Amino acid sequence: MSSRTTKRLLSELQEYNSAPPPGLVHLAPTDDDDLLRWSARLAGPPDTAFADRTFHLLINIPTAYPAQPPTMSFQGRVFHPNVHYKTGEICLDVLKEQWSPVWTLSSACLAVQALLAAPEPSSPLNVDAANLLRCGDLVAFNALARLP
Amino acid sequence: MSSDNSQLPLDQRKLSDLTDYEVASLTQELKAEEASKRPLVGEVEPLERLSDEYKNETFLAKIASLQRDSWTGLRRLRGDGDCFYRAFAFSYLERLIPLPPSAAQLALAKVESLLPLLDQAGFQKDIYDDFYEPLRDLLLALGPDSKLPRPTATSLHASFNDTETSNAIIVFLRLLTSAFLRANADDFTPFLFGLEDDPRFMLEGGAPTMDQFCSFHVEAVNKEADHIQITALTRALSVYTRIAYLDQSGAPPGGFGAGAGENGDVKVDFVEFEGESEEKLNGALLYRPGHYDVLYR
Repeated sequence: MSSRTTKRLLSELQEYNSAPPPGLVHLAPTDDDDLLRWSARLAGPPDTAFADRTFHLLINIPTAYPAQPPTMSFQGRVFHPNVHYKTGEICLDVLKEQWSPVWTLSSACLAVQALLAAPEPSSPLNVDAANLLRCGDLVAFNALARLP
Repeated sequence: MSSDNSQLPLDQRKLSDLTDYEVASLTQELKAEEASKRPLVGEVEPLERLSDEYKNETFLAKIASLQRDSWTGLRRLRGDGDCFYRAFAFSYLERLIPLPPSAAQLALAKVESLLPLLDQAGFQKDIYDDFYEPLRDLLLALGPDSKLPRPTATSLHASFNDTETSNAIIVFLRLLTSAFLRANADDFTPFLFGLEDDPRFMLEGGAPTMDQFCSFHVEAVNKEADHIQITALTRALSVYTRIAYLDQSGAPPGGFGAGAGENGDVKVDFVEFEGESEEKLNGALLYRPGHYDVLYR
C-alpha cells in the first residue's frame, strides 16, 4: 500500500471521528494492524421497511484506493433488489463505474444507506425483491424487507 | 433467494443475456484490461508508424496530409478513459519546459485562483489537496523559485509513468473541470440538452442535470472527456489547445476509387480551444475515435 493511500485512510478516520455523520453509527478499521479492512454500522433509513434496524457493512479497500473504489458488503441478510441475499454483495453505481476518488468511505456508506431507501429494480442482484417492487407489491416487499 | 447466472462475472455469460448496461460495463472492463498492457505515456515516435495501422484510405490520406504539414512525431498514451486528461496534462506541462520560469509561475497562479471553485463545488480541501500536490510540485519545479532540478521532457515522461502521480494529476484536472462546469452552469447547461438522445448520457429519458453530468461523466474515474469537458478545462486554465481530428469525416462519396489519384485534398480538421494561438505551438493533441495522443512537429 502506498503512503498516499495510508495518509488518505488515516485522514478519513480522523475526519469521521471528529464529526460522524448522522446515521453512520460506526466506521473504523476492524483491526489496528490492517488499514485495508474496515467495518461500519449504518442506521436503516427512516420511513422505510429498513427503519429501526442497524446494518453491518464490511469494507475491503484495494491498495490502489482511492483510485479504485472500496468493496462493501452487508453482513447478515438484507432483502433488497440491489443486495445479494446470500452474500450481501451490493450493486451500487458509485462503488463501480461511477466511482470518483472524491468519494470517501463515509460518503460511500451514506450512499449505501440512500440505496436502501431508494431501490433500483432495473439492475437487480435479487430478482425476487425487484419483481415485487416492479409489480408494485409494496406490502409483500416491506414484509420481507422487515425480516431481520 | 434470487438464483440465476447473474452472479457469474460478466465475461463468462452469454452476450445475448446481458443488459445494455452490462454490455457497457463489460466493454469498459475489456478496454481497461487491454489498456493496462501499454505504458501510460509512451516515447515520441515517428508519425509514419501510424500509417502501418490503417488500411482505411481516408485515415491514410489524412496521416499523409499531417506529414505534409510537418507533423512528424507522435507520443502514444494508454487508451483508457483518462487519455484526454493525461494527454492534456502532459502537453500542458511539457510546453512550459522551454519557456521562462515565469510562465510556470503564471500557470500556477491560475490554478491557485481556481481552488475556491473546488470548495464551492463541495469538494473537501484535505481530499483534493492530495490530488493537487503532484501538479503543484511540477509547476513549482518549473517556476523561478525552485530549489529542485528543473523538469525535462525525460523526467516529465517518467513522472507521468508513475501511476500515482499520473492518476493524481488526472483526478485533479477532473475536479477542476467539474468545479468550473458547476460554477458556470448557466453557460454550459444548454450543451447538456444536446445529450438528450445520446444513450451514454441518458438518465430516465432526459438530459442530465449539470450535477448529474459532473458526478457521472467528469468526476467518475475513467470517464472519457467530450467537447464540454474539454471546453471547460481549457477555459478554466486559459490554455490554448489544438486538437487534430483523425476520423472518417471528409471522405469523398463512394470512397477513393482507383481513379482518385493523389488523395491530396483530404485534410485533417484542427479544432482550437481557448482562442487563437499567439505562440505558434508545435504541439497538438491527436484525436482518433475514442482516443487521444500527443502530436509533435
